[in-house]
Amino acid sequence: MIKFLANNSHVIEKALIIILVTLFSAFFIFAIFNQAPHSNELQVLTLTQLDKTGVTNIVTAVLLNYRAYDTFIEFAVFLVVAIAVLPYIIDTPVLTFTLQEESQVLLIAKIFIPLTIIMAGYLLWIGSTKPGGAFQASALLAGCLVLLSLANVQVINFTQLRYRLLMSSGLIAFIAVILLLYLQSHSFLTFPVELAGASILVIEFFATFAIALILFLCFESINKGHA
Amino acid sequence: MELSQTNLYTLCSILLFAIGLLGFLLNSDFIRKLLGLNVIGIAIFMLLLAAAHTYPDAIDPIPHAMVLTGIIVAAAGTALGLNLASKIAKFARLVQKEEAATQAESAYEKSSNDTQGRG
Repeated sequence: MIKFLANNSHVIEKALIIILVTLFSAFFIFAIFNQAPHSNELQVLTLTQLDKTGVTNIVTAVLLNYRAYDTFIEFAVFLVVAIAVLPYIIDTPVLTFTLQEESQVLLIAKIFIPLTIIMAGYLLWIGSTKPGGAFQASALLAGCLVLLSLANVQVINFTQLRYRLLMSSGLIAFIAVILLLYLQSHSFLTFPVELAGASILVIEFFATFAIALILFLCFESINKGHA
Repeated sequence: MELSQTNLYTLCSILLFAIGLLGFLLNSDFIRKLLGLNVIGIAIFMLLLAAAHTYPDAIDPIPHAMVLTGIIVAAAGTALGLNLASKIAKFARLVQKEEAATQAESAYEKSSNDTQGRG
């Protein structure tokens, strides 16, 4: 019996895992469908207080006004990820800015990148009223950079100070806005109604470039760092 | 329990969670583990989005904001994980090479010392 168990330990382990996961998901489904529908107190609050936030899109209001603390710490998390990923890219030799022969990726990039940049600006601007904002715009910009990287065009040298400053500009802008508003109103992370829209736009503008650069750095560290 | 769109989303997200968990637990490969973790993350986002739909014509914005930030954090975390995995692979390759070199060395020494017996 013990010999049988020892010989088939892998199979038994896998079978146990499968049984446990099945039980877990069955319990999960049972628990979720037996739960009473949650109350909408928070949703009503977000809607009634919307005119004090400086924006009219609820998701942007939640991100940068009601729960600005979360977003602030999230920017810090991004910066930490960038710092953690940066060593993987530093050793690789930096190519000079040379356009290689006309590859198809470069042809696609030439057509799509100007359009995508315009679209990113539009998404950033529209974030105050409609679905859009810094995260979507930065994803588009990072896509542009990835396309350029695939076409062998080296645009960004992450060892230079200006790109590092741009990478941390999201957090720096956030801290600067918070400090200025703190000096004015002596309350932490609360935007006065008349300044809320402008300060949110400033934060989102810098956050767009910072997040785009960090996402591109993540891509580059995997793509080029281990070639 | 009627099968409305929200319920379908919830069900699918739980199934996706189970698939991701199995992929994470049953594979010993780092990249497959990472893919499993990603699938788990996407399942949780899907669950949050399904939970955000409370009753017709109303959407809870707070889970939406959480998912929006969560997607990008997940992408950054995956990049970090992949970097670490490839670092581990590089290190393992280095160790293998060194082991092979030491084995060859010891074999050479044995053969030079004793021509009759070989280890």
